[in-house]
Amino acid sequence: MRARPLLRLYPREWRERYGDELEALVGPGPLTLPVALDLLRGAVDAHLHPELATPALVAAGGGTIPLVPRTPRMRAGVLLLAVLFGLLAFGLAQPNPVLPIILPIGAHASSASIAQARYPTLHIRASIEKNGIAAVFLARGPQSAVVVSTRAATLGWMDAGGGASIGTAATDEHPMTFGVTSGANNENQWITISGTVIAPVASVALLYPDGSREVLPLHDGAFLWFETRPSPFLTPLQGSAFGRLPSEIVASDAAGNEFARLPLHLGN
Amino acid sequence: MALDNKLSAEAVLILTSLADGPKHGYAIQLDIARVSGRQLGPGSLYGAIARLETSGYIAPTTTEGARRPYRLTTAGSRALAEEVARLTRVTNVARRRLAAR
Repeated sequence: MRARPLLRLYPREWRERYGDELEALVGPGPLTLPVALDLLRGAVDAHLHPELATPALVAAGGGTIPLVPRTPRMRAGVLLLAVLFGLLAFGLAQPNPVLPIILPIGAHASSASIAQARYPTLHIRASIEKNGIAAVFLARGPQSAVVVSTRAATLGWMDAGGGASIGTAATDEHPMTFGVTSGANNENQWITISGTVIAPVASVALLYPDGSREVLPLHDGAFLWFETRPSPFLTPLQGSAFGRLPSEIVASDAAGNEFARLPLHLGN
Repeated sequence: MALDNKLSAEAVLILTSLADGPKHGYAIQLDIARVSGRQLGPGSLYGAIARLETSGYIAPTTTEGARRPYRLTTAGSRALAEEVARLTRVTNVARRRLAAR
């Protein structure tokens, strides 16, 4: 991986101020993994502290700047996001012969789809444990609450395991979850890592009414969409959103012909 | 402007490097590696540079191509001196306690 795509992850104001210097520092060659992860961490930090891109404004009294993240939780959050982004970027760069459909999902679905979901609120809970990392995203959409949790165990890099799960909750007291991906071994660990992409994307589909399709453009005119028909595996609770769980992810070519269909298996 | 008085380890290293004279990012990175043995990644380095510049502890000088040297300001020099004094006190206590073991 080279530096330029990673530098695009920084806020525009930050790139205008420090982008040339940073690019000159890392050079045009391929990056090592530690340097790539460090740049990702820096990008997250820059987004969390946009005031850093305008030092003259702040120096004139336009804001306050902590010289270090103020709390352990904040530091853990920054680190967690950096690790998750790093795992995703590295996982997406790997060939995945088992579920190739996963790769374009993550590559195309992040910011635009999340924006289209029109989340009124989005809360993130994250923790770093001794043997892994975990994050829970709680979004309260216009029609339902959605909980997305991702987890990646880090017992050892080649033995990385974990999974991603997603659930809806009619009320916070009665959450219901179903697995999107789970488990990994030395041969298909990237499935698990890519699951952290699928879970947020699938959460977007949950906010759409029955039968609607969230279309995500792929390459060469092909596209991918979620089928959000009522799930045969769940009995909708009255007044809840459980009946709108996406049951399948479908990929179609430019003419609308399906060429891949990925069922979303239910159950923990 | 309210500032957190505590300097991060990266900030101390950068201020220490610039105490020797203005340097651009790559020169700072090399100097820190030479002095402390620590390899600061580019994202960490420029995150710390941005914070220090915002706090008024360092300031850019004339750009050299894509590289922009930074210099230590008076406020940065004072902050570094205070941090060194604090670290010296901690180091002295640690040395005494280790000697008493």
